[in-house]
Amino acid sequence: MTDVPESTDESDVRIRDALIAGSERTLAEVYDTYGPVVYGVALHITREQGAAEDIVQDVFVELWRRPERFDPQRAPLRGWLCMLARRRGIDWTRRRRTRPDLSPTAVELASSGFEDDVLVSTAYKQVRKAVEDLPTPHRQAIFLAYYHGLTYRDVAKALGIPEGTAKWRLRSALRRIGEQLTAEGFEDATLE
Amino acid sequence: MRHSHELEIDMTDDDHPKDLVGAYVIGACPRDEARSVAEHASRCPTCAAEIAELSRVAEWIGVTTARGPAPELRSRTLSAALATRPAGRPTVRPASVAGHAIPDAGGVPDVDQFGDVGDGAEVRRLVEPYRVQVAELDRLLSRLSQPQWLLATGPHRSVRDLMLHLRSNDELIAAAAGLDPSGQGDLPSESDIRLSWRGQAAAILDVVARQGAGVLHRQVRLAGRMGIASPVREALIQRGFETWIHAEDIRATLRLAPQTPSAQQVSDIVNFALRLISAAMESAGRAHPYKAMRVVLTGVGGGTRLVDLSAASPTPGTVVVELSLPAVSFCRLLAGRLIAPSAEVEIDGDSSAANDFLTVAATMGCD
Repeated sequence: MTDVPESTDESDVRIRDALIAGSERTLAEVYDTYGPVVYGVALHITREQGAAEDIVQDVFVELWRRPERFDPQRAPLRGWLCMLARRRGIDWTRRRRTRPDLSPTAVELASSGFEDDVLVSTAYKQVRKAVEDLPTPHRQAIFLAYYHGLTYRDVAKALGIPEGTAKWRLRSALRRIGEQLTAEGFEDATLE
Repeated sequence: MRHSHELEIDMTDDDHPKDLVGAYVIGACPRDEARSVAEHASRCPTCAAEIAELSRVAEWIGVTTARGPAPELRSRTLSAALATRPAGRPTVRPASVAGHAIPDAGGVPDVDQFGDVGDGAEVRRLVEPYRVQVAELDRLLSRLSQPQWLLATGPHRSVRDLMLHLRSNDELIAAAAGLDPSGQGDLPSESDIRLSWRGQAAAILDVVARQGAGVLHRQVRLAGRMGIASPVREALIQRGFETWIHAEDIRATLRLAPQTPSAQQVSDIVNFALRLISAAMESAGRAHPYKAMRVVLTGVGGGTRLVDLSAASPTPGTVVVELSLPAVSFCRLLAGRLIAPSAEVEIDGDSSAANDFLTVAATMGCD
């Protein structure tokens, strides 16, 4: 895996333009950079390797077919690919009508199920550490909303807490992650 | 925020929806509330700044679960992408890049003609491998001499019988798509058989492309011994699969080299079969409750899959055996064209479970 490229709009704009022009090499580079992130998101949501692989394929085929749909001004490529993977993963679980295990223990176990070998990038490690350092209730709220597509109201129900608390935890969790990353001199220029 | 009471949004004293911004940036607001937050932020630089800041954090969350996919997925994904658009071909005219995207007016029809883009993409993805196989088989048939139509091929007495069989299997999906059966009496000429098969296949492709995603959910009986009802989506994969297999039969008869389908098609066939196999093992009396198998498929269209060896177990089974073979060989095995045990098949673990799996898999073709 290559290192995480600088997540500036500029490099994403270049990537998008190259994909629009039909650069196969760029597609391969984007896959090498973000494949593990997209796969990890899909696998975390579906818990099924085959489904996660199909989602990875769909996401990159979609990127290749319609790169112009990606707008670097609105989100970094990494975030956009994650969003596509989340949508497909959540759709997949809904189609299967399987009820995800949303118990706090399952969410918690899931959040620590990382594979170290792909986390070669310092940035990934820092983000992971910041998420791990969150108080457990905050991390649960983030995982339920991000990976399971729950609204804050459903997060509140799943965790048996008032809706106001769920909203507050989501905001507070993101602030804490941001503050920790900034304090560590995180490489992503956009967080400064 | 005039509508704040109607929408029951908790506002802080200064009327900013501060408490919602975390939920908002992570996509966890109900739609009406998300709209209100967006409207507010469009007028409020303070909230817009906080939303921008928290969004940048939220964009990083996904890396928390990063995990290396199987190495085979790379080539599978890249070839699937290139199958939809060859390298070097721009998606949009340069002038449109900055503004609205203009669909490519080139040879491949734009998916938007199929309605919703997501489903349109699926329609195109499903139709394309079948279209390729129909064209390829038609090309083969066009070269056959009269005597060659009478050569035994695959499990059939003649190419002629094989094509009648294929045409009749295609009728199942043709009927579901609202087409009339293609049959033309008992003793059609070879050229009638070829034309009526090809005409029916083209009509299926056309109807699916025109009706789009709506038709994919319709139930149709699958060809072959299983005879089960499945959505048209699955039947299309099966049509492409059978068409390829029969082209292979004819190639073998003519001593032409075998051909491997695209990685996309191989992977579709594999997934099609693996979705059905637990139930098939159950109805064949060869299920292994609470057991699962890791199927490692190598080469074109390959990848690793976990398969439950029983459809009746309430929980995923424990992996008791690993089976490894080339993905293309697995497709041939499904069609009964590769007899297990084969040198290509490696079994590590519970061999009785693996043999039951292989035995049932080999009955999943269309003959």
